[in-house]
This record gives sequence, C-alpha cells and structure tokens, in this order.
Amino acid sequence: MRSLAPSAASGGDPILAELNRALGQEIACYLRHKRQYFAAKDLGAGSVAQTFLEHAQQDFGQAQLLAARIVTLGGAPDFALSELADAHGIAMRLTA
Amino acid sequence: MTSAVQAPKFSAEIEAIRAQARSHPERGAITNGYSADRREVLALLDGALATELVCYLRYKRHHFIATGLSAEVAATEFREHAMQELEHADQIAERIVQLGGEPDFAPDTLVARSHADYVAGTSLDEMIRENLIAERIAIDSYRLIIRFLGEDDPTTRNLIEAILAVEEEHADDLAGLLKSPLGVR
Repeated sequence: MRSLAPSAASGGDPILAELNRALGQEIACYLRHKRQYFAAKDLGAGSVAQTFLEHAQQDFGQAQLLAARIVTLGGAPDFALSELADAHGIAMRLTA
Repeated sequence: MTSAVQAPKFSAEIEAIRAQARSHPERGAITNGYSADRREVLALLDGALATELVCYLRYKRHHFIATGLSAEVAATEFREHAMQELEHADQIAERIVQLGGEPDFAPDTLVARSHADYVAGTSLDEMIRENLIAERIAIDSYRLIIRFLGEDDPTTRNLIEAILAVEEEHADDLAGLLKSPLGVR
C-alpha cells in the first residue's frame, strides 16, 4: 500500500505551503460566513443572510479548487485548522 | 373508558396551554411545555456541531488524498460522507438557533469541542480506520444524547436520531471498505 508521509504534505515546497495556507483561510472564511448566515437569519435579516450564505458557498468552492490543486502538485491538503492556526498565527477567533 | 374521565381534564390543560402561549410569544419555539434543560441541550448540540464539522474536514482531506492515490472507491465514499456531515452540521446549527443559542463555528476550538478527533491519516488503510473510529465515537455519543433528551425535547431527539442512522450507515460502509481489497487496493 502506498502511503503519504505527513512531511510530504508540503515537503518544504513553498508553493504547497502557500496553497495550504490559502486553503486554511478559505475554510476559516467559510465557517465565519456560515456563522454570520445563521446569526443574520435569526435576526430576520433575510437578504443579508443570503449574502453571507453565498459568500460561504464561494469560500467553499475556492477551498475545493485549492485542495484539488494541492493534490495535483503531489501534496496533501491540510484541513487541520488548529494546526494551521498555530503554525501561521492566522487570527481565527471569530467575532459576530 | 378512561377517555370520558380524562376529557374535562384534558380540555382544562388545553385552556392552560392557550393562556401560556400568549405569555412569552417572543420565545418562539421555547414554550412553557419545553421541559429539557435548555443550557444542557445547547451544550450537547455544540459538541455535536463541532463533531460534524471535524468529521467533515477529516473526510474532505481523506477524499483528496485518496483521489491522489487513485483509490476511487474510498475517495467517493469519503466525499459522500463529507457532504452528509456538512448537512448534519447545518441541521444542528438550525436547531441551536431555534433553541435561542448561537452556533459556534470558531475553527480554532473545533477539535477541542468535537467528540471525535481529527486524524490526518497517512495511508488509505489508516484513513478508513480513523474515519470508522470517529463514526463509532459519534454513534455512541449520539445514543447518549438521545437517552439524555428522552421525552423532554422530542424535536432535538428526532434530529439526533436521524443523524445517528446516517452515522451508522457510514460506519457500516467503512467497515465494508476495510474488509474489501478494493477499498485498500
């Protein structure tokens, strides 16, 4: 069976590292927009909620493209958000 | 028959319900008859939401890695499971809002709040196994939630029961994949 060592995820490749960072950001944005969608919906702000939902769907699509590209380049897409937050110090604390 | 005896009592209860319904309409679905501990239910749902999101992320990663390994059977299963976990997350978030809570999507605390772990996985065999273990954790934690809710919040219980049924299917699929030479190639 073939295996993909975690170190091979970016393997020190700056492009893969950058793509993985972008992937993490898109996922974090997806989650933030999703939260805002539910908050706006609860407030009865239907059209605002719809906008947040569309943004979430766009972030989702972009994450999808980035992950596919990482695989094409021989890397492994990193969906571990906590590791990403530690590694890059991306401000992920969400505010409503 | 007992119905004849109960009828007047029942109509009195309906009268009481009608009066109570008018007392706090702004509370929406949280009526006087809601007997569950709402804080506790919201805390349980928060854990379930985080679990679904972490499972989604794990499946998603594994889908892409399995695709890279040309393990199409497993890759397709992982993708389907990922989409279903995301739907569950949405359903749980909707219910949290109905109960007057705020769904927490904060990525930095997701893994800590989740019942199941995020395991990156290095080989196909390990990925299938880790997803199966996560499903089994989710299954038993949902059974626990269902028992806790009992008759106090049937809507949340029904939701978790429906999700539980899908997680059991996932676990069954993965166990099959683990046995099948196609799954691990």
